[in-house]
Amino acid sequence: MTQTDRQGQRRWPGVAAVVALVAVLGAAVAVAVAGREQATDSTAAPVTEGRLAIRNARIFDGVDVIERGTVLVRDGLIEAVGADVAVPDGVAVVDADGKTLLPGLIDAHVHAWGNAQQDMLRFGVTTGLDMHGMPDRLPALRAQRESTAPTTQADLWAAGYAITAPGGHGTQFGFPVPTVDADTDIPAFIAARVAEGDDFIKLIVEDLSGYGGTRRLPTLTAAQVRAVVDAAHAQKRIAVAHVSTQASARAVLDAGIDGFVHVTDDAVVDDAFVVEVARRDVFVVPTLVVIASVAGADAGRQLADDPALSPWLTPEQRDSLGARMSTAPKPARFTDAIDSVRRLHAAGVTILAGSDAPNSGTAQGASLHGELALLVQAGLTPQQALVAATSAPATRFGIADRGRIAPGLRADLVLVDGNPLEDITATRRIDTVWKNGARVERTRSAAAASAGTVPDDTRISDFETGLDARFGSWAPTTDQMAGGASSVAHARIDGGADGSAGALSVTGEIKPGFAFPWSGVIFFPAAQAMQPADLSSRKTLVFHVRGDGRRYSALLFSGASSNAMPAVQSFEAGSGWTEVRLPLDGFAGADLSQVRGIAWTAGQPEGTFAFALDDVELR
Amino acid sequence: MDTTLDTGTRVNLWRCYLLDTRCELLRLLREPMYIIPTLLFPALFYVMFGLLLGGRGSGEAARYLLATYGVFGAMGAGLFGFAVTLAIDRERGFFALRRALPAPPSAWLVSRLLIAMLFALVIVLELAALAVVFGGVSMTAGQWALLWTVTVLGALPFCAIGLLLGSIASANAAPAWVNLLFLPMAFLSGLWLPLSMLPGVFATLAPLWPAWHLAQVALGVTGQAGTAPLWLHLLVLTVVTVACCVLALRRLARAV
Repeated sequence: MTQTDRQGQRRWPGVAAVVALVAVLGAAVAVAVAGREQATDSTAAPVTEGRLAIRNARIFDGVDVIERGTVLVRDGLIEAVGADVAVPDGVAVVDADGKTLLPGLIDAHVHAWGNAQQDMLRFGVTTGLDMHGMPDRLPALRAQRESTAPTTQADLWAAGYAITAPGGHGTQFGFPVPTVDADTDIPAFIAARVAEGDDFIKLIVEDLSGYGGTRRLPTLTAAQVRAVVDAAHAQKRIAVAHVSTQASARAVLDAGIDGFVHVTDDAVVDDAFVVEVARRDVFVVPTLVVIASVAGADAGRQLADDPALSPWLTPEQRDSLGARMSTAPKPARFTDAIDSVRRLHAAGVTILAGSDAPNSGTAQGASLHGELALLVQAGLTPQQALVAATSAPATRFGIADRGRIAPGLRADLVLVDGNPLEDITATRRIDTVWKNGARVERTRSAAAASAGTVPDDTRISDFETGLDARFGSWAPTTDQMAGGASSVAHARIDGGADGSAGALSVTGEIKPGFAFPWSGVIFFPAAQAMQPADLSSRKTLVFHVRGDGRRYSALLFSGASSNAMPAVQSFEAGSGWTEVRLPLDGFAGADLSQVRGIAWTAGQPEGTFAFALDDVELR
Repeated sequence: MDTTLDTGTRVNLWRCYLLDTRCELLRLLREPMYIIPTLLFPALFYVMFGLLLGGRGSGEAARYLLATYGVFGAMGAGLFGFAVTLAIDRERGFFALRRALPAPPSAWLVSRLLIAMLFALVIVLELAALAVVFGGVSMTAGQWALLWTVTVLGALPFCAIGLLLGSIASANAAPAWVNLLFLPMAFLSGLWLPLSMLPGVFATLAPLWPAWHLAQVALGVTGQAGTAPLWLHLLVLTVVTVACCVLALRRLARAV
């Protein structure tokens, strides 16, 4: 054996080890990457059809009409559209003879929570523009709308927190809203909103002066409005405004606003205003359906009774459509609003379709179809009304991937029976909705609110480290959402029952302003506020409480409608920690299979209150 | 291992191992700079990131980080336990001394392996206690047992990497080398935050790091694993263990 042989022999285990290391790590990268791509492919591929052809349809592409044509869909996107597009072999074909294909509808004024996104999608509204809400969900909304995976939910672009004054309109919905006062550094304030993920900036200019009552709300000054609009533009965001009077609209217009999210309804807009709106190319989202409700009309009920819509409404949507913002008839408010839209439209102002759902008299998804009909009543042609719900809002809000049927855009499509270009109510006769190229299961049973299940854990929260819960979430609740004035603050404090580390402190004041004042905290058992959860397997609500000796109420919200009155049991909160056990069957009339929220609240008498909760359980 | 020694009488090999382990443990206990970070940092980080800053109430963060900080702990125990002491022992000529002693040569290796696994076990038990009491994590008994097993055995590949480092580096350089490997690998393997929160290139490179493979196995137990197959992770960890051992033992055979 030679020297080199021996060296070679000695060296081979080391060389082999290095080679094995390099080989296996290289292979690992290759296998893992391939596996990941396969996984993303399988989630991105629509469940029903990777490729799809819709043939013989009348196509409204968001701008123009193709009387008879074909649309090809591939992997969630539109591949081709035209009168003479060939259908490749092996592609699932939908024959749409006698039907009209529309881009997925865009509702340019919604407030989406709970089941809103499912409700919208069921009615062909594939995208909503949310005008006021908590910003913590904005990253999730962004991820959701960037995905082309099949989904049961409409996508949202959102304003995050609307910009309003302390105690102004927008602060009464039971969640804390940062506000703008005389000392606010507005550029920094708007930068903070944009950092939270606002897609656009919405201002609220509302003092209630247009509603004839004596009550006035604080609102933004003209200087603040101007500063907010400038700051929004500096942050590359458009600014839109809630207004209800012509006087406030004019001030906002001078500030350089990009759009109004209501048409003013205190009087018919005058010529000078119309000319100025047109000159500045400001768009208007009239929200006529909600103005009809404010005017006491029962347009909502009529919509709910439309046989094309009725079967698809949930019980809550039906309730909401049947309700009105005001029961005192003020027909002039509505006719003025219609006339204003007529004049604005005639002057060439861009009109966008928005519903302001889910306010009383409206319902997510369904009301956009009502709005389209009212826009036609106000003088838009059916085609112009469809533009107002498809390509126009996409263009004005800078949404590039949807709003038209064009190659490369997202395959959000609605196929309807008949010809909505002649009869706008044909949009309600929905045959099929596709979201991201996948057919949306539009079963009538989906319209029955399905209650979510919750984990088997009996504990909800022990407040040892924070306000987190094993499932669900905690939020403040006061009568401000009903126009009252009671206040509340809730926080985790050190020192809980049985010597534990923490508890939930709830302090506030019951103030006059609502017939049945309340203030306290609410636990939502499902992922979103007031979503139903099935708690029928539970028997007892158990918690520890300590307080100022007041009598408090435990309210259980449940049933098919989130507007239903809660069932109540009361308890006392004395100076020492005591355990309270409330049997759930003691909540008279509650539907435990659809629990929407459990609240611990103070009521009459007026004055301050303070109590603390700990170790909340549902056994 | 060849353990037949002509000692005249049969010696219980395990007793040698245990004696060696005890001595080695004593040595480490007198070395707080090793024991405190190794045993406390994973738990400390877990409290900070998994429990205090973790997602509100969903329990996802508490469970994900329970698995990954266990891996982080096992990695630390393996790497530090081997690399630094081995480098020091080499420089002091301790191996020459050992060869003259009537003790099985394998005891040095076995005792350190046992200690690394013991430390990994202590770390996962700490994490489990924190996760159950403060993080609201609940898993079945089988899941707990499997997670602990994965983590404890998972220390082995890092023992092998530590062995290799310790057989190459000088006593002064060894801690630096280990830290250079330890912290970036932890981060790049998604032990501190899921790789999905980082740019895509990190997820693409992840299969290069043994810690990522172990984390994926552990996350498989908590039901949060990625898409790569289990056999791939086990294969990589096995090859890394064997290859590093082969390379290290060859160096040691020559160097000492």
